[in-house]
Amino acid sequence: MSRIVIGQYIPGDSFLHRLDPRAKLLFVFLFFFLIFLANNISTYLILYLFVAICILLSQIRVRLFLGSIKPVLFIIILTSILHLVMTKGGAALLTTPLFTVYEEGVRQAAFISSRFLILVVMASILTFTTSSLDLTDALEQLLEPLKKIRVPVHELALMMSIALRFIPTLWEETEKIKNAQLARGANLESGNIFKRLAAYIPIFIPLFLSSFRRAEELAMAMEARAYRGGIGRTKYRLLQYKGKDYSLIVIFLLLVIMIGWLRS
Amino acid sequence: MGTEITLKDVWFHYYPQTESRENWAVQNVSLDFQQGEYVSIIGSNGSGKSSLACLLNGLFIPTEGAFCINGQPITTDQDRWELKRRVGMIFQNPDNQIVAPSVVDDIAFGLENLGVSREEMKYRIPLVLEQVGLSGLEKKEPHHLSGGQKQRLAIAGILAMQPDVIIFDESTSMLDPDGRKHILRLMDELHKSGITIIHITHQATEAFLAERLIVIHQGRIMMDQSSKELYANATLLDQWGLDVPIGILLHQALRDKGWKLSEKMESEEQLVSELWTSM
Repeated sequence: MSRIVIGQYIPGDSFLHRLDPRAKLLFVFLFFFLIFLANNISTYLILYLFVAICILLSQIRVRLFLGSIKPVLFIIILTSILHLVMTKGGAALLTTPLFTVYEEGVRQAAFISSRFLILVVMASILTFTTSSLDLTDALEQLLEPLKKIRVPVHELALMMSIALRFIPTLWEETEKIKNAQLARGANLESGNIFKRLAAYIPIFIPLFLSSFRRAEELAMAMEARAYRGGIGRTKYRLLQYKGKDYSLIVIFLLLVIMIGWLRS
Repeated sequence: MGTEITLKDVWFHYYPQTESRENWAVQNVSLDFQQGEYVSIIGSNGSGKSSLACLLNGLFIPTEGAFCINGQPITTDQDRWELKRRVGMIFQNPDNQIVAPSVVDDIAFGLENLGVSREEMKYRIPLVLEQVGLSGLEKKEPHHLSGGQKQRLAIAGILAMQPDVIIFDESTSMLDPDGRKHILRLMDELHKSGITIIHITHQATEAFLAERLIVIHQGRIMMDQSSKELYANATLLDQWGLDVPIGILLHQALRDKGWKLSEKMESEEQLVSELWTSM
């Protein structure tokens, strides 16, 4: 389980942990748009500074944030390289027989990788400081108006909550099946990518079958506990906005003003 | 008032159109369960005991026959939904019946479905956590609990719904000895508090902890006796593919060796007591 970092909740009692999940979710959602407004060094510096402050406020070790970047590092590096060698504009900084690196290429590579980094770290701040249950509750309440156009909001939120609840269970199951196949001589580590993928088929088939069986048993257990969709349901968890949640509006507006003022 | 369950000439099959009646999961079953009873339903794999359990909880609808609660037939979806509050059910695999990502939210799940107020939930949840011995684990994620703790969480989720009857469908079969003992002790405590316990199992030693034993084989009820009566005839269990409890085998072996023990033994306690006096 230690390998899973993205989406993992780190329990704590920091300022960010105590914020209403709806406020955090909305803020991060709008912040993602704000990232795309940044287009020069000063605007990106402001975003970096803001992310650094959020990391400090979360009281979560920086190592964990680095861990969350790792899975997307390949994409960041690849897009940066593509921008370096393909974007033209400004003075030529480096000329090789194969490609030329221009000033604009360096700028774009730096900005695009910054966007990715800020996106991933902000998403991690949200998931590190908000439990999956809080997130699904927040999503359900924020999407509440869609019920009027018959969007099954409650069912979608419950599906998400169950999916998150079963990640560790299915992970354990995968490990068990993998070990069982290894014990019977399966070779998962050698050969090219296609051979390796084929070697995983005997792991995925039993995993899918057992997941379907689990789903059926879970549905029966839910029905045995009087579940019949969202009809007449009450809620144990109550979300209430507090003063500090409204401060996010002020912070967001300040960010918009600063970026709007500094962008070229 | 309590809950009295009656099954009258009940037949059930998953695909009644395709199977001949000899292969139906439940065949011509008539049973009564009084409030406060402790009953074990014992049968080998595929005997129809889990199908019977699902009929008692309203998860399955009898293909034929009548199913009544306190004399009132259960026919509509609303009847079956209301039945879920009265008759709770604990399943075999503790992992597959926990819905929510934390202990407290999972207990709240059933209450939310019943439309219980938030204040009432806040009152009931700590009580049931205390009752099953999970106090202090409110915020724990289910995958951090042991098998026994998960099963106790499932029981807490049902207890919070304040049922009159709880069906345990092979709920101890996936647990280690400690977890199993804990659940069996809890069943006994719940029975003493007035809840009807229906324990579905294929373990004869566990089944004999109940006051009444029902043997099911190939969908039919073969025996319905008090556990004392059945203990005296326990060797019959062998013909239905069930284990005879070790105490009974020991009793017979000792009698064959010439030990002066009663011809009929009613419980393991009686055997221990007679062995103690004869030594």
